[in-house]
Amino acid sequence: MDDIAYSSEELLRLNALYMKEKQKRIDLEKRLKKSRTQLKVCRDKLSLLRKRSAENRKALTITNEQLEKYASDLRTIVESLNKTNRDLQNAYQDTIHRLVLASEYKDNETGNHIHRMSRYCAKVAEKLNFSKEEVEHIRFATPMHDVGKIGIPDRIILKNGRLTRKEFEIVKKHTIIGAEILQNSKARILKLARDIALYHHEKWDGTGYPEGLKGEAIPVHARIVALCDIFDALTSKRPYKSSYPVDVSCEIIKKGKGTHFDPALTDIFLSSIDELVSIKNEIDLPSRAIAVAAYTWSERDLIDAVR
Amino acid sequence: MRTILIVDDTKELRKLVRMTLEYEDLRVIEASTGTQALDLASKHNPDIIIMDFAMPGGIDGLEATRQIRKNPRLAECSVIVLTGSPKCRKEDALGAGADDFIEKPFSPLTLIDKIEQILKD
Repeated sequence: MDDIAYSSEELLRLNALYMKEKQKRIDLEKRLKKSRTQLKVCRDKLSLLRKRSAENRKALTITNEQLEKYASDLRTIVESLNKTNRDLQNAYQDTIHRLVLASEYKDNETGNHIHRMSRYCAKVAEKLNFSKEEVEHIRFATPMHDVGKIGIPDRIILKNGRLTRKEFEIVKKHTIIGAEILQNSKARILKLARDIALYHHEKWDGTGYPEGLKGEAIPVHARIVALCDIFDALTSKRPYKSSYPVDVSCEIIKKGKGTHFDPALTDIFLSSIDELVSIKNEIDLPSRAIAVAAYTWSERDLIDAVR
Repeated sequence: MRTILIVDDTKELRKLVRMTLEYEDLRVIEASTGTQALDLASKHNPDIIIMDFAMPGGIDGLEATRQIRKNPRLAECSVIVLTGSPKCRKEDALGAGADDFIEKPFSPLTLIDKIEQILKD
């Protein structure tokens, strides 16, 4: 027994060691327990997040499917608006065309003059780099340039032979009457048409009518119409003249450059002459049926066919 | 101003419906559970209630509809059941007293049509 006997100091030391180890163990157990609790909290949080994420995903799917329905309804609405817009535009152009028909009802000018003019003017506007929309506006505003003739007495409009000075003064009024018919509209096309009707007989050097405007004071649309109107008159047969060949007509127009016509515009016009002539040939085709078939059908064509 | 109560547990869907109806000049109030729906319905007496079927809490859309139908003060109020749940078909909705049924996902144009129809009558 002696050899396992400890001195009292040794026993105290051992006991102290034991107590220390025991405390360490208690501390570790505490820490373990704490960690376990923390782990559980984390697990709970994770499962809650998973649940929420699944819910969010579900809500997202529902919302997505729903948004697709909204998109498809919107497409339907846009399509129907576009159709309404097209119908409205057709009706508008149809109405304009009828106004033009009314104005030329007794006149000897043919519908083809109006048709050619509006295509020539659109072509020139295109060459001037006008926007697509503006080119369209010009195309539809141009046919109204002579509506004011509706207010000129038949005996003058339908007269065979030369007009007297007094009669010519009355004819000049067709510009003002046209502008009065077309004025105060909010529509861009009618605003243009009003300017064109009023100013398409003005001349670059200020010798035209009704106001004697000079140069760029004349609205550019009216300057374009002035040029195309004369070109069409030259290249068409009239009661008082036969139709001039294109090269002769071009020479006459060249002579008017800077006096009658805007010089820059004249250059652009003459450099586009091939395209203008092909428009003329296209419209003057002997067979009306072919010419009509070349256009998309609208009520306007029906009116032409009836005519 | 006509009042519409939209009952749905999906917040985004409530927002979409609110947007759609407010654009039509309707006043919109929202509930996310059946219980809340019953509470708001008796408080505001809406012209139309748009009712989801599956929602958390004890009362689903059909039960809420039945209880609304039992309330004589809400006799003028129409209920449209709006659900994507396969457990709630049109017959179930009409059987519970709903006036109309729309399936999710719904066409907003259809929803507006039906609401305008009800408000006109």
